[in-house]
Amino acid sequence: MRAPLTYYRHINLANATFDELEQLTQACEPTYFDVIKKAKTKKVKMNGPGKMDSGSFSPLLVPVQTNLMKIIRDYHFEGDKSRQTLKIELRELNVYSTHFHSSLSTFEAQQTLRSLTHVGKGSFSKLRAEALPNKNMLGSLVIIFPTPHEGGVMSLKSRAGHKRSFDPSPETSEPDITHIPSIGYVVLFKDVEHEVAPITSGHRVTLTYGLYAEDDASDRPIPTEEQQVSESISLLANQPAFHDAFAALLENREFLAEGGMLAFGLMHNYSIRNDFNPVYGALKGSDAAVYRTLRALGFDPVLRMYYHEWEPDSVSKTLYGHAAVFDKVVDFSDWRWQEQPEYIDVAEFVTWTHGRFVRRDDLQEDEEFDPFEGDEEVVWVTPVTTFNRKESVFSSPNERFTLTNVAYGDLCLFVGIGKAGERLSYPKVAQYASEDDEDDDEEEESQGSED
Amino acid sequence: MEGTNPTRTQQLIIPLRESIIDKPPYISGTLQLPASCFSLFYRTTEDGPDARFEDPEFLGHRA
Repeated sequence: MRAPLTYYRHINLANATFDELEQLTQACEPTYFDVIKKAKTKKVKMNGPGKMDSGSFSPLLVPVQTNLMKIIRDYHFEGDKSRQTLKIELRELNVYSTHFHSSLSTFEAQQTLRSLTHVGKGSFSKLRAEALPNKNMLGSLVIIFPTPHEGGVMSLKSRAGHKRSFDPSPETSEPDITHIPSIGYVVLFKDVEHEVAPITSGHRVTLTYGLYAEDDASDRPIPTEEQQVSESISLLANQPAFHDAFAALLENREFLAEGGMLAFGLMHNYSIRNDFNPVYGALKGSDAAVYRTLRALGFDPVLRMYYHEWEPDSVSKTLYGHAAVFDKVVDFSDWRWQEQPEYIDVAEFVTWTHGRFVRRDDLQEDEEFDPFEGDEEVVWVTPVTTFNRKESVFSSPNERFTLTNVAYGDLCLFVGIGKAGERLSYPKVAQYASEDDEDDDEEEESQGSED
Repeated sequence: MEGTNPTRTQQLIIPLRESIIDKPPYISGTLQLPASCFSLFYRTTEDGPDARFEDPEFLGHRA
């Protein structure tokens, strides 16, 4: 007796017919689980999803070639984790269906199966948390194809109390005007409990991948193309929470009653040249969530270099507890520094280069703190980070020797908030440069007219 | 900005800070992909339960 022939069948999950999906379902291994019913006295076997191990199928979808990598990286690898790399491994295919094995041709087979399972009841999955056996394992990625189905809503719950229900089918079942098909995706990190509600019709086809983190010792620069795709990613996961918190804060008349400046340390590393414009479109994860929300609410957040650390410390003496903010990376060696008997005058340089003085919150209580006219108080929502630090080395000669100094600047996001009741009326930070330019133009014009 | 109470401001800003830092441990969304990404090949055998779908008689019976 010869062994049955093995062959591969193809299915297009963007427009598969009911029979094609049913055929895929029948090729899966059935799964069952016990549910205890009726006052914990009766155990009932219920349909889990059909399952196929990764060795039995081959999708043409390769997550590393899509924006999914970027979405996951940008969300999870923030701050100190930004140097880690993400690995994705295909684990299994699942089909949730109401017809699982219900079309068996023989009555006997149907009866046998009926005794085991509730044929015709939609398959679902019980509430469970992802087991992470490997310390490098971050969680899992579930891709939901746009196959016609009803039910199968996924519920997510974290230990910290975050909750979400997700059903991509209203968005993915009808391709938009571009006719480009879509998938739904869910990324589950540590300790997320999740379950899938019973399917009531059709087939819900999913692929599950394992996600792993690996340390990247290389000091690789961020590829330009990696920076450019951020804008194409729709709503970011913590955007709604930030929007609601910020909107509530604006309503509170106690908060910055006279207006003020908010600042955010960036959570990601970017390729920075002298012009920050390319960075706006490349903002990732929490940085993008903050920037987009502020823009959506009518504010004008801007990226600025925040110079607040100096070597030696005495360089900042003339700043009297202030930091300097610039709309560009500053080359401090451009200035003809002259060592004074006791110090060099950084404040004069900041004024000359159209920088702004902001009060350093860590020095406002300092004895040496002395407010400048026109300086600004900044409220740091998230602390300054050094992921985008630029240093500028400059020397300051005096009569006897030459001192080498270093100015350290960090790229941060700033936004001006108007006083209570007029929150959008704060002079926009972005206007500073243009105002300065206008001042220069006016000076030039007046000089020209004098000539 | 005179009269701003730094301590009170820091208190008020906590929920805003937490909304950025205290992220849910999951992400979900939809993503458009090229049509080729929806192709899937799967292994089957000639006598598996799915093989019946190759049989016109079986398909006719279902209809």
